[in-house]
Amino acid sequence: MIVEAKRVEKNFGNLRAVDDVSFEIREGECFGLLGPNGAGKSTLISTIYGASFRTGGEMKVFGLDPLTDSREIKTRVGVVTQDNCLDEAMSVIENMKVFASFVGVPKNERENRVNELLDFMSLKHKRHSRIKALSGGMQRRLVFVRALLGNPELVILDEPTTGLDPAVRHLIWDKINELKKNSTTIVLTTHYMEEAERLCDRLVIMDQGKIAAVGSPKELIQKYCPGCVASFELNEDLYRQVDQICQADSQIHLFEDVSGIGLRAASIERLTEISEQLQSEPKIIRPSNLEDVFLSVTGRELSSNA
Amino acid sequence: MLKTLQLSLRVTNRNWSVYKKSFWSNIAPTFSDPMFFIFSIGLGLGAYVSNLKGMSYVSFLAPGLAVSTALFTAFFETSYNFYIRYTYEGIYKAMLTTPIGVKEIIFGELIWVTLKGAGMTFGVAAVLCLFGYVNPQWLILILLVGGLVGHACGCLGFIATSLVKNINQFQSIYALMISPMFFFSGIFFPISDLPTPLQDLAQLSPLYHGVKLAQSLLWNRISIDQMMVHVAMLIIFSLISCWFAYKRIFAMLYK
Repeated sequence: MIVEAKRVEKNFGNLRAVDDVSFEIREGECFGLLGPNGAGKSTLISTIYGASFRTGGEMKVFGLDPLTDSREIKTRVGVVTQDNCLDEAMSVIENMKVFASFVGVPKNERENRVNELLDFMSLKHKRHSRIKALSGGMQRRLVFVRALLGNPELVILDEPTTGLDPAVRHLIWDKINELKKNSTTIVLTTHYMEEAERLCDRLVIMDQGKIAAVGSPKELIQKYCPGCVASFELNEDLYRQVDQICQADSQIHLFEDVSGIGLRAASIERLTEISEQLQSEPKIIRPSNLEDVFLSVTGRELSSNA
Repeated sequence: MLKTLQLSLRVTNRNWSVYKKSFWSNIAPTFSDPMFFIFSIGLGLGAYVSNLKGMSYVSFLAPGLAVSTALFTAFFETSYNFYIRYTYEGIYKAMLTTPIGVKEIIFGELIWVTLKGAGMTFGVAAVLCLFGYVNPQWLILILLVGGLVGHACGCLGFIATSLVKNINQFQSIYALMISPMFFFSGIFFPISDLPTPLQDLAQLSPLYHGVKLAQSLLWNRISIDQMMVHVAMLIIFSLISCWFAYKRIFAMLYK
């Protein structure tokens, strides 16, 4: 096990940011922490590498306690921080060489190490640029370079693609997949369900500081929201009819979401049958995904009979 | 312990790397401020002051102004600059993902202000020696005085950082603590001319002891006993303020 957390708690004064959280992270897996903003994800991961201290419970990282051995832990961990926190007073290469010194790369190897990683993140042509001259996507990639300087066994990614355009997001996903191929253990926090579904082997869904569900994306979908989902425009008549159908068939689940009425059933065929019966064309029919799981386990899905 | 020192020096080195990039524009205000005082107050006003402690007014001013650079450079570094790096730039958040811990950040910054205080005070004192305003015989020891004052005032800057709720509040601390220290530490006139309670108060200022030491050295009026007292006072002040600064900044960075 790379990380073992038992009943971890973190309080800021009277506010409980992390509440009785237990999980394990296995070597070589990509482990996700999913949840909305303020769910306690970033707080929890900062207790893993010892930048913040837990106020209760037990935690072991590489068999060491972050409360007492954070320096040793941090020599084996790389972190992509949620904010870029790049040192704007220095150029790309200067920035990375200073951080290479922090993580203990010997002086005569720093230049090569930095160049190698700039190349890996497709940033080599920007090595002498000022930080402010880099686009948001480039700055994000540079934070990856910074996190990888020490050749970490565990890489923590705190919302790595928040605010990035789809092209950059896909590029970063490719790089994360390359890290996975090299058996690097990864912890990923995100509020993008698609990101978690694509990258994570296992994940926990966090809400209000607690773990609401644990499993692989497939297991979670299978357990909480099997089947497919159809979305309809909100309409009171339709709502009444759908409600009746649901009362008659316990395999059909009705829920409200921001865009209208959601209906979940075992298969696309069943949903098509229902929409014919309702004489209403659904906006979309799709397989259930982690977002449905999230809405369901956090109680944000207003289910009528689930 | 050795590892802590090594990592602290890397934090210091980060500051030096940034500082030397714009070396001349960084160093210019440090030198220009005391020089303006020398030319305006020292030579201008000094023309009306014929003799102070047996010397010209500009020679009287020179040692104190040299040491005051340590106060300003150190206080600004650990107040405004540290606050900006912490709040707006998030540099320490990034550092804390590496083997560097809060302890190393605090020590690294304090080593930096100590060295900066020493270097700046020495530089200004050396220029004043070149002008012939003060005596160069003990100039090298000014490094120690500047370092001690820089360290003590750097700790004060840290304490200020831990107290402010926003960057504008530094102005109040500057107005109520740093300015009075600058004007009432014996740079512009002998403290013995002040009423006794104010003289006692001046004893609490690290700058006062630094000024006394610099005056002894640069006027070549060495009195080992008195100088040891000032060195001891500076060390005591440094230790106490360092302890407070460490506690408060540690709590600020490690939550």
